[in-house]
This record gives sequence, structure tokens and C-alpha cells, in this order.
Amino acid sequence: MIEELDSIEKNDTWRLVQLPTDKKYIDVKWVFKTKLKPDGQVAKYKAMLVARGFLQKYGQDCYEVYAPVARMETIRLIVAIAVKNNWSMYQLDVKSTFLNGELE
Amino acid sequence: MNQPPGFEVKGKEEYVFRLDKALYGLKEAPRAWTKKINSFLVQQGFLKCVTKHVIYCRNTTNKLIVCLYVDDMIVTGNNEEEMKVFKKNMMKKFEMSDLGNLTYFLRIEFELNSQGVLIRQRKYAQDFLKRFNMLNCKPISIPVDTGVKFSLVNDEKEVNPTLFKQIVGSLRYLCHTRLDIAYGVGLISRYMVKPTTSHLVAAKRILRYVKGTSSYGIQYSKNKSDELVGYSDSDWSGDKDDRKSNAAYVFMIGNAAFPWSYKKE
Repeated sequence: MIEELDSIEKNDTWRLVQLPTDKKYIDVKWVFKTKLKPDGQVAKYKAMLVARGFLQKYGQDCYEVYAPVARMETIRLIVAIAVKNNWSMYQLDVKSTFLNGELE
Repeated sequence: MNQPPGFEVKGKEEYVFRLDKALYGLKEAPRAWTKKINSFLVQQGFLKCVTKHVIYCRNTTNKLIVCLYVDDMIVTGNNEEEMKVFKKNMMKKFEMSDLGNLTYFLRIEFELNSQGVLIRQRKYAQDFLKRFNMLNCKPISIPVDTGVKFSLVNDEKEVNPTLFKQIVGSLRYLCHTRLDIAYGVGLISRYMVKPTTSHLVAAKRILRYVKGTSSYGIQYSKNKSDELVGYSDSDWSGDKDDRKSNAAYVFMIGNAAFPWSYKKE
């Protein structure tokens, strides 16, 4: 939990303010996960702070929600082109992705 | 948002946090991320593909293509050095892990072999058979019984629609590397509303077929011609219920299929 809060603080995610009287706040809660190693032993306990986004109302609390995902055909086409030309392919993965996005 | 439970700031319990960055679970979180990665890639000199918004290309002296899947990405191009520089820049900007060569992406296995790359979902297929207790079933060599025409209404016993939907859903995901079962899956997915025993038997038959062929996949070969070949077919009103046609197409580049479709009109 401390680790998660630290990473959020480090990212300058939030500021402490007083709630304007005409606004509602979004509820947050902790989600706990126990990650297991393949042999069933406990690898680590993970705590994640999540916002209960389903309480948000479109047009009032949030505006744009669109995010594109790749279609499988597109991925296959990229693979086909890369293989045909003998290019190598690499895979990257971004950690704490959503903490990276800035809000307006 | 309110303060995280258990970590309220002393004396300021009635205060709330104003979010400057997105948090997991927030509705605009994925959007905020997409905006950020988009502006970064554009600043790096990439052009966004106009039809497929997840593809970014940089076409200077060398080619570099990036394919996004929210926070996962595939990078490919014709210059190793340039890819290395790009990866370094990405790492500087975001906290990320380099997973090396493309091997496992969205539960699809990518296997490098002497002819090129083989994509398949062997592990997914195995897990899926285990989930539906079909791991020890007898394999079968044809996914759909020939000559059988199903009907929406019949007087057989109804089966659990949830189980049926789960099977169909999992099979649909398997279709990403298996066009041989596309017809069978398309066929049974029409009966999701009121599945009966004969529909479930057909679904199980596909499972038995998958059991015998779980290592199948699509082979993409190098140095083949980049000729684009397409095929299509239709059965002219083959459906018993509404006389609509079945149609299918497949397009291949360098002898390997990449998009295909089977659908009823």
C-alpha cells in the first residue's frame, strides 16, 4: 500500500483541496491481490488504488473516453510484412500506464 | 476523489484530492493515456495511420512501424540501430519493460523458425480444453459434421445457455489464429439465445477437433512475393430458417492469410 501511494505521489497525481460545494467526489477503494508463483507459493501481496469510475456521469465528470485498440487483422498484417522483409520484432510494455495520462 | 481509506491526512479528513493524472478505474484513464502516447510518437516524427489508429509509421531513410495495444506495443522496422534508439527514448519517457523479441502477445504465441514466424494459440487452446473438461476427449479430424443443417427451433432439450456462450466466446478468440474453425464457430454462434443439445454437440465437436489440432497456426514466411491474393465464396441461401446466404473471404499476402471472415448475410 505504501509502495502504491509512493508511486502515485511521485507522479504528482493529485493535490489536496477542499471540495467545492456543488461538486461530488469520486469514491476510491483499495484492491488487494495476492500474486502466486507457478508452484503456488505467494510471490507478493499487491495493493492497488482504484477509482470507482462507474460512478462518473458522461458529460458531467468525464468527456472523452475513446481509446483505440488494435484489431487482430492489423497485428497479423504487421507480422506478415515484418516477416516477409525479414525484420525483427520487439515487444514493449508500459508500467503503470494509466498513471501516465494527464487529465484536463 | 476522496482520500484513500486508511490513509487520511490528519486534521484534514473532510478534504478531497484533485486529480491531475488519471487513476485506474477512471473512465477517462485509457483516453488520457492514448493522448499522451500519441503526442509523444508524433513528436518523435511518426505519422499516424489514417485508417488504423493504432499504427504509427516513421518513413525516413529507414522504416519503423509501431503497433499499439493500449499499453503493449510491437515495434518493427528495417534498421536494428534505429529500433534500439527508439526503445531507449521510450524508456526514458515512460517507465516500461522491454520484453525482447516478440514471443507472446495477447495470448498468441509467436515462434521464430527457419522459414519465418509461426503464430498459434497452443497454450490458450490447452487451457480452454481444460476449462471445459475436454482435455481427455477423443480427437476428431473434421470440425463440423457434413450435411447437418441446424435449425433455430427444434423440440430438443435446452442446454445451459451460459456454458454455451462461454464455449462460443472462447472459440471466437481462438479464431484469431485458426481460420479452419471459423465456419464451425460462426455456425454455432447463431444459436446462442436458445441452445439445445444438438447445438452443444456441434460445439463439443469443434472442441474435439481443437484437441487434435491445438498446435496448428499460421506460418508467415520470409522472402515470399508481396502479391495480395483474395478469395471469396457464398452458398446462395443455405440457411433453413431465413434463406440467407453464407459468405466468406480470405486475403493472403505472401501465401499467408491475414484477414479472413466468415459470416451469414
